[in-house]
Amino acid sequence: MRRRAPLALRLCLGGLIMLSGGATGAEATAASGRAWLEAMAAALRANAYEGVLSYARDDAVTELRLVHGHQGSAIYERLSRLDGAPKEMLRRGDELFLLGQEGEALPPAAVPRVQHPVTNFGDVPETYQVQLGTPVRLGGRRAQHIFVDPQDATRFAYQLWLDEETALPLRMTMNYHQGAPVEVVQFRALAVGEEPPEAAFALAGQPVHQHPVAPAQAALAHGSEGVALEALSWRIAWVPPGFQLLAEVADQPVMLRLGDGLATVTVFIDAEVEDEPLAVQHGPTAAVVRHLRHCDGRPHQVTVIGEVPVGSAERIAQSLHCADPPS
Amino acid sequence: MKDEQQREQRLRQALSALVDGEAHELEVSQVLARARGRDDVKARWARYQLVSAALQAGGQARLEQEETPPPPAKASAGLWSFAAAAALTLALTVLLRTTGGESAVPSDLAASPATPPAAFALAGAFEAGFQPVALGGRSDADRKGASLLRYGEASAWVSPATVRGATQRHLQTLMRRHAELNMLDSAGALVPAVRLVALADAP
Repeated sequence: MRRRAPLALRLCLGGLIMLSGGATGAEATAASGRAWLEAMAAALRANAYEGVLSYARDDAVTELRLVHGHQGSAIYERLSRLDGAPKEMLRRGDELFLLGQEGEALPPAAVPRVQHPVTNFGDVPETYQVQLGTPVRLGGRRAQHIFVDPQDATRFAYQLWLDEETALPLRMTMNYHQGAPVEVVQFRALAVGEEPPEAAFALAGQPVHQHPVAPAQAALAHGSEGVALEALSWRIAWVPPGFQLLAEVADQPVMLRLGDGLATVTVFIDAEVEDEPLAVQHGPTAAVVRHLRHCDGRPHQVTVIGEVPVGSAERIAQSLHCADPPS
Repeated sequence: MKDEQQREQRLRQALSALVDGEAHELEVSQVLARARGRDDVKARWARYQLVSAALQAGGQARLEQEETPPPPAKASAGLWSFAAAAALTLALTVLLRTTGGESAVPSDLAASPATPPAAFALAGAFEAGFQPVALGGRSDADRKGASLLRYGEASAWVSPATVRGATQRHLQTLMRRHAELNMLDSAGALVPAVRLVALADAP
């Protein structure tokens, strides 16, 4: 194990220091909560660990095994599905492999041109309120409960239970605004400490997918009441608060990536209309299909998919409208 | 009618409390009493038992949440089992289809039908009914089979189980692509990778 610190004590002291400096209790709690989340993000990278976790959405539960370690300074990670057909994600430094996944690789244009850390709890946007909950006992471990709440119902909320000793997440849920969970990720067993052997990250067989990890770039545009697209002849009049344009891909189907650092939405715009309009919520992921005409009258199919309530996905789809092609 | 809605709301709240571990024994009894005679709730509990049996095969589980600190434990001492996981996950499988209507959830998703639930059916479809989907787009065969559609009309929110055929495959393709992009964009975050790997392919 690379990192071990008395996190609870350190983070509590941080809160006390803030209080003595004139910060309100709520501010100190929020700061402490964010410090916990930053510690979690660091712990997920720096520690070596192996565990079995459950992933639940809708009425389905999937078991997965996670092995996380390092080779030199590079992060090596293997995530394997234990239920159903074998499927794995193997990360070896800057290489990512998807094993056992059917179908073609993403078209080159669809591989992200921009890599913002999404689902990035190490830097929770200000449009979310972070609060410390009550320490609890979870699976025989002391855990710090943390709430990450959006300021509106257009996005999901999050709850995390972090191990007091390591700051690793023992349980994470995505919840409706002030409501029930739509998704749970929880470790059923977790061992922290020994670096896994190199053989744990061996590549057996030919991977179906392989992606280099793209370098990080700045976001393309900001906006809370809409985003301006640079390359595409479409406009989005509304996005959830804090969302910004992450990437736009002009190849067919046209693709827009929107996000706020935690939640993401992908908008696919296809010149070929094939599906009936619909709106579904599949666990944390909403999918909305709409038919829109461009300014020249040609019909397009717009599909909005993302980890937002279906009403938000629908509102994004409805706010999409044509614009003159960029000169 | 209003009373019926209030009873339904109270039932959902009580089930929510039950799953959150906030319900007392009396409340649990009340929930079960109210659920008596309700086919949809019975179906939920039946699913609960099925998932319970599956999970219990992986170890005994019991949810414990209390204020008192545990005995000192070294994280590096070995594999420590999570007693809470199975129970929580089981509870969640009930809760997800039970109390989701508190915000922007369509009523047909919030209310669990007496027949096998939509999401369960969808999961089954992902496991068994789907053809391999090309991430690069839909196949020519799919395109030829597409029907003529109307443009611009509104649509109601639907249960995932009602999405079938080419539309189902198309949505699965796009959802997988979205999940893959999220994983690539996540800089190593755990949840996007879990979502992608947990998303089942056709056998």
